[in-house]
Amino acid sequence: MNYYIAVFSSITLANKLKKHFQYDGSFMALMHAPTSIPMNGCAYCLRFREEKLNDVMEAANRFDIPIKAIYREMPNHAYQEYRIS
Amino acid sequence: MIYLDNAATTRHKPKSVLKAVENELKNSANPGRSGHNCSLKSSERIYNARKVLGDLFHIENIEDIILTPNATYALNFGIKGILSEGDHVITTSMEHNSVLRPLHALSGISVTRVKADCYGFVEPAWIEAEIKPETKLIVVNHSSNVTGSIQDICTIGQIAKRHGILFMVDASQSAGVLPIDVNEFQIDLLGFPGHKGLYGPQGTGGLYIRPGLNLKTIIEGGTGSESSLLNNPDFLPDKLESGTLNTPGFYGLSKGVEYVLKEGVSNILSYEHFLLDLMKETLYNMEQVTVYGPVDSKRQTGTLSINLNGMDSGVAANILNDDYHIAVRSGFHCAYPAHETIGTEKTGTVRVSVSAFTKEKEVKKFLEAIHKMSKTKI
Repeated sequence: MNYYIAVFSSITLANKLKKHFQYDGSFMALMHAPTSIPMNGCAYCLRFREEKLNDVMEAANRFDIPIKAIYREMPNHAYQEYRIS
Repeated sequence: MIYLDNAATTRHKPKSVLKAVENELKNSANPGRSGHNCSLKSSERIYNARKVLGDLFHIENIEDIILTPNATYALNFGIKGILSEGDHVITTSMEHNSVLRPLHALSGISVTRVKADCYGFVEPAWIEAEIKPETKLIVVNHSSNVTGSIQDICTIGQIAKRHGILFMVDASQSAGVLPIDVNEFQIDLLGFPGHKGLYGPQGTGGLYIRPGLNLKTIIEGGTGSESSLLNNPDFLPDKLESGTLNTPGFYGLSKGVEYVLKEGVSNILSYEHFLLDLMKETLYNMEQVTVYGPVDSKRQTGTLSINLNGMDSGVAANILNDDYHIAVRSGFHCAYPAHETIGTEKTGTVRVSVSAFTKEKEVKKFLEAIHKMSKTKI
């Protein structure tokens, strides 16, 4: 099972998108973004399964919630950036 | 104690507010700082507070709501954040010191204070007549904390928009009592307290900022975001929310706002008007009592100023407290120009203010007390 994280500049925005998916019955974990991810320090992210990736990007676009970056979780707690087109 | 000082703060809160504050105090965590479940839960509560405030004021992007310790901080953030040297501001003689003092403190700006009539009303045309090329901001108190007079912010907002001027509303006495739609009223900045008509705890308030407006920061510090940068983040709400929020307070406030939404702003207002009319019917017929402010209760929120002729307002308030266990506020109510406007700059007034929780029998007891006091020679 592959997981992705969408990183936001503010916890408010992360919560905003999480709420949208909650209404949908989908649970997304809100968590502190790993410090290895270059985000000028502290940031929050939503963690979700790969099959939700398009839904996340589409919802963020629709509700005007800017995503700073998306990363794919790799083995050993590494993260690979996913280019948002 | 019969509490009739709700314009200062509402004493009686919905039970849900008390439970929420207690719950958060027992399960405290700092929202927007850590990643553990406790912190995330607290952050959800803060999010919900913004959400319900957004519902109340018809604010779409809830990140445009900055949470503050009270309306004074909100108004200061707005006024000092938006104005620069050379700007001209139009305001009214009915403003509270939380608007007048920051305007006075800012150097390099000019302020025109439009005088209201003896009932506390400012005609929108009087404001428009003072507009100059350098006018940057119009700041208006939606409802006076001295007389309850309601200003026509819908028309004033239209005037501001027409002239390309920013419009700020002080909703300290109107939030939760009068319908406020930031879009319909063309409001660019809205400052409000959480602890009055929104029935939240003290230590809560907020400032709505129209999208696209760029305010300078007044306070910088930890925001839980972009920590490696020395500047505050440039996005809202983080930019203007440094330091730990009053999470128990805002969780409580969210319940207060839910109460207001459930009861309905118009129903709360109707009830307050009923109580005002009950008071005025009797007070207008008392020879020794002067009633200030609007004659038509529909043009005011649940606040009334009176004086007992020949009795100092402070003495009157003390007698009400000591002999009748009735809480009111006397003096100048942090709004001296409003008293100059209604002619009470030497005496101040006794201010009576109701809430959704004020009982009819409490108002009747107050009227009995005033009746007895009006027969007393001091």
